[in-house]
Amino acid sequence: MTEVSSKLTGVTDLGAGSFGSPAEYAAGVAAFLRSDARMQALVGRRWPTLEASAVALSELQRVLFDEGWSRLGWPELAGGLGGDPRFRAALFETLSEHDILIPEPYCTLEILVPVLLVHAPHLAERYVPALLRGDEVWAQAFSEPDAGSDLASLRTRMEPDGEGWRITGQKVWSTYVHLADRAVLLARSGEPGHRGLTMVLLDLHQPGVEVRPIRAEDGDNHFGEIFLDDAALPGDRIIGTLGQGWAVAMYMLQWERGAWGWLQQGRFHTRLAQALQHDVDAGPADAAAIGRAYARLAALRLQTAHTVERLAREETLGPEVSVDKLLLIDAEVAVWDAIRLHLGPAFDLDPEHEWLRSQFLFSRAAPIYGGSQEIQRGLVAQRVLGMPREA
Amino acid sequence: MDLSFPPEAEAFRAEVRARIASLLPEGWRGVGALDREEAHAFSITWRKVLYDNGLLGITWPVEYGGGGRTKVEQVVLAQELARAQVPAGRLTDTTSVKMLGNTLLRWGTEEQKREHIPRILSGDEIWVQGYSEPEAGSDLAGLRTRAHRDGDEWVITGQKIWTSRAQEGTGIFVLARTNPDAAKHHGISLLLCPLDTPGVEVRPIRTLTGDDEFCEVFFDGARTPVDNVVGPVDGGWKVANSLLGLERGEEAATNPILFRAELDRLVELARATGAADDPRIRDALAWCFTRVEVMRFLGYRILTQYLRDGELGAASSIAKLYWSEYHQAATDLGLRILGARAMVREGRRPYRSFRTDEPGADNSTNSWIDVALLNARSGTVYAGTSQIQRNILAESILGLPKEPRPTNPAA
Amino acid sequence: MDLDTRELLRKTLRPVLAERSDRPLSERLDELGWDDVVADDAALAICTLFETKGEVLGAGDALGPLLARRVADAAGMPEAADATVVLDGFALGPLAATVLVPGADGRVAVASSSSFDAEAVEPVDEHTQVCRVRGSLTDPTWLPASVWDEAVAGGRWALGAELTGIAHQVVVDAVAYTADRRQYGRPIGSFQALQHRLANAHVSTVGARGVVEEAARTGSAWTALVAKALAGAAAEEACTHAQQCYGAIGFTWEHSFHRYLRRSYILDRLLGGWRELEVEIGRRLLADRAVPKLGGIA
Repeated sequence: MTEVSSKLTGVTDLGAGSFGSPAEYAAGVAAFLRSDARMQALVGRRWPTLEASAVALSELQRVLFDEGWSRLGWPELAGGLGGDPRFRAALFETLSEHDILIPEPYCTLEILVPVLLVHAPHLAERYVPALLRGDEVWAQAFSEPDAGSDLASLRTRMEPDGEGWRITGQKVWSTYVHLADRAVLLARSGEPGHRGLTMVLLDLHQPGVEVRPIRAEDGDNHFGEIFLDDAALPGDRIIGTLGQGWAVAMYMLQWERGAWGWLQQGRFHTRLAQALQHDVDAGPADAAAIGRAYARLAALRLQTAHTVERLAREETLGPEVSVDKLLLIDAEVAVWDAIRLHLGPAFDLDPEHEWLRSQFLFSRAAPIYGGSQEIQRGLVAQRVLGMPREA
Repeated sequence: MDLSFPPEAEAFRAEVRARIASLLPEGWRGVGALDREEAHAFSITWRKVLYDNGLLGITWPVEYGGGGRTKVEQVVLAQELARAQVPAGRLTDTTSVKMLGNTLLRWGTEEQKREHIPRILSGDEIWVQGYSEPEAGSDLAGLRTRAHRDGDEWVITGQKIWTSRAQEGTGIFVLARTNPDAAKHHGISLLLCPLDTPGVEVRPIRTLTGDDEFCEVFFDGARTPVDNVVGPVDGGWKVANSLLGLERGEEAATNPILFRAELDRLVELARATGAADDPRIRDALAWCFTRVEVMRFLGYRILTQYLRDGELGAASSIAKLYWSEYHQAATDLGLRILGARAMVREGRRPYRSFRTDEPGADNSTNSWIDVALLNARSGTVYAGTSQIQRNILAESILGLPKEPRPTNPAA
Repeated sequence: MDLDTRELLRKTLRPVLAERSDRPLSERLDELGWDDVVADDAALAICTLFETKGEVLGAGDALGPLLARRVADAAGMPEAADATVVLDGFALGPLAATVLVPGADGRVAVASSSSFDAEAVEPVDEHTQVCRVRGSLTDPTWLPASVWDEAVAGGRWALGAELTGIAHQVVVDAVAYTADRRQYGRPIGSFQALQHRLANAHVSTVGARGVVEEAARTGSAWTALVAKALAGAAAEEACTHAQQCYGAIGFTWEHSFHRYLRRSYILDRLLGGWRELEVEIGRRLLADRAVPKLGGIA
């Protein structure tokens, strides 16, 4: 276990009590970002490829872990310093405010680690510190070529093999998987349908696992496929219990839909503000688009702040998190549309805006990943509004 | 691509244009310049003028009182009447002339044609439509009004709803279930029933603008002669659907004229209120202009198909979606331009409940409010909701798989 | 105010606001002990009042008194509290002895109503009284723009609350209708097209409501601006989608739907329509080159 630098507060006991509130903590993070040369070197930095970005930002992860800043908000069991999700939310917000890119693995952590803490604390204890520090990278492997929206129909199988299991099948759209060491994966251990699913933690560097990146429309390898052929899974790698996979995935959803929205809104505020710094002749549609985007961003921010507070109180979120996801989709699309409109033809043509273009292109995926807009609307209609299921 | 009409049609155009001009009242400024009672009265007297001058039913066979002319010429006439800002008939002619008249010509017996066509043309018979029911709207084939044979009569029992202007009608053409044992679409017949038949009761429904535009029509053992079935017994569904193309085809030619006239009023309104100085309003008006222009070309395409094939199919869904959704945006823009004044009802209220206000209407708040609240917003509902239109488009044009549909009429 | 108290307040307010009578709203609220409720948590109480008013289409002018009272408080001028506010040449009720008339420069004038005429006009919404006001200011007292801004801020989030109340009720009613109405052998609410429409309306309403409540809590004029923009859009969206669900019946006089539609038209026109406000938001962001953050994690 790495020793935490005393630079943090000058106090050796660094429980959440050292920072009374997330706001105080945010101020502490901000002071660190401003004063540390390594952090300053990352302000406004962009990299030409996803892989280059991943290498640089894993260094950021290491610094933030070693200095302790990323450890607040996670329990000590998992290499943290205690404290609730609001502290993590404060870290993301502050990084975005300083225009330092949030390492993609933090997003993965937000989604996967809470699940481990509840359903596989032994795995959390063993692996999360390294994950948090950036010494290893994880991916999430749920979707399959024939199982996207209808995830419960997935076919990757896990068969008993002595004390452990063997997994065979195929996964797709797994973010960052070609850079990952392990994957949280949903496989079929039993009967068809959602009742026969189990969630596991699979090592990717082993025979029987082949990973292939998929080039996205912006030219980057945002996600990949995994081909599994009798990949070995030790017996203690089940998250939850056998056949409990669907329920565990449902629990994961409130993090994926809830916490993710807060993380994103911070980024959007920064990007919109940066776009406004450009001197352009704003036509009549420009102000309207910006106003529209801002209003939706404000709605997203207030809603997701509320959601993070609920998560921090350990409330179980219900189907209403789909509202958060839909607000996120609206805001993301509106913000990037506004940025693109504001910057005019230069947005599409100027080499300077290469990174922005790729962000814009990726924003078009917002209504698709993590449960498509149509699925979310169906969930809101049926589970929140109580409309009848389709015949 | 040749967007011109054939030379014979253009010659006809010149002829009718001159004729209409000669028939117009002195200082004519459009039906919209008359108040509602005057507009209603005018539509009836003007109809007689059209009839007396052979400008009604011009494509119908001469032996029934029609003009024996071509479909192209009918379209030309419709356009010229629209440009002259006069109606093509009275409001009931949509159902009486366009729908039933043409249905009878296609499916009716010789006796039926001789009996009804001349009277439909003269206006002595006014037929209203009895299709929708409280439990059968989008799913019209689920209708429950029954008709059974008793001797040489059909006995009709049930209820129709949303029948436009039944108060003005002399008869109603009714889709009724004549074979309850057949599958949903196969046991329906189209029957003619005079409205003064005992057992028929008409009850007006007040619309949200306060007018009695539609009615419920109740049938309680109403009897109509057995010969009053149009087309084959139990074949009514096909009969009723066969002429949707006709309505949409003509509409495609006249809609651009109507909507352009409405847009011109909107621009005038923007100028009068000073809203035209606002770049966003100008932007929005420009958007409207482009949409109406596209509507014009969409109309040409549809018209060509209609004139060539007589059928329209799913292309008519595109047209309907296009103009109905455009109209909501345009009328909302009208209310926006009116600003605070749109809180208050003043001036002439529209005479029509469908599509735009009459040509010549002024820019009163009542005109824009009623057209926005009723005409425009109902446009995406009547004659097939936008959801249904999109289903049709998706299945027929895009070839997406059909949703499973139950066939039980009682469901 | 905790959730349970708020719910209780809502339940109590509903019949009072739904009452169709000529009794002024203030009188009906006095009977409830409204001043005590307000003393406890003014912002949330007023928010709940307007929201409930939207839900039940409550008659009576709550906006005018709110604006007048805020002017009176901000200017330290108690006699302005009973004044009739004139917006764009219209008032939402008969003229009191004093009028408040905003000027083009952002200031607001307090003057006697004796040189004004009010003519009752036929409103789009039959339960909202509207009078056209004409006349000229004689001997006005001009209050600074900051006073009127303060009033407008309150008016905007209050109307925002009423608009989200309308949006909410419209969605609830449409959901209920689509559960009962059957076509093609199934409730029409089981069709995706309608599910997605109403889900969209719900999401917009929830998003708007969050900002409305934040505006009420903080009193920020900026947040109130954003709140009204979102609420106006949400009400319009809810009405459009609900109308598609209702089909023909939504166009009858008898059905309640058109009353919500009409009310939302009026409310959107008061203190800035949502499209205009979006542009104003955009203009401010462009001018300041900054994107202010609302709220945050406590």
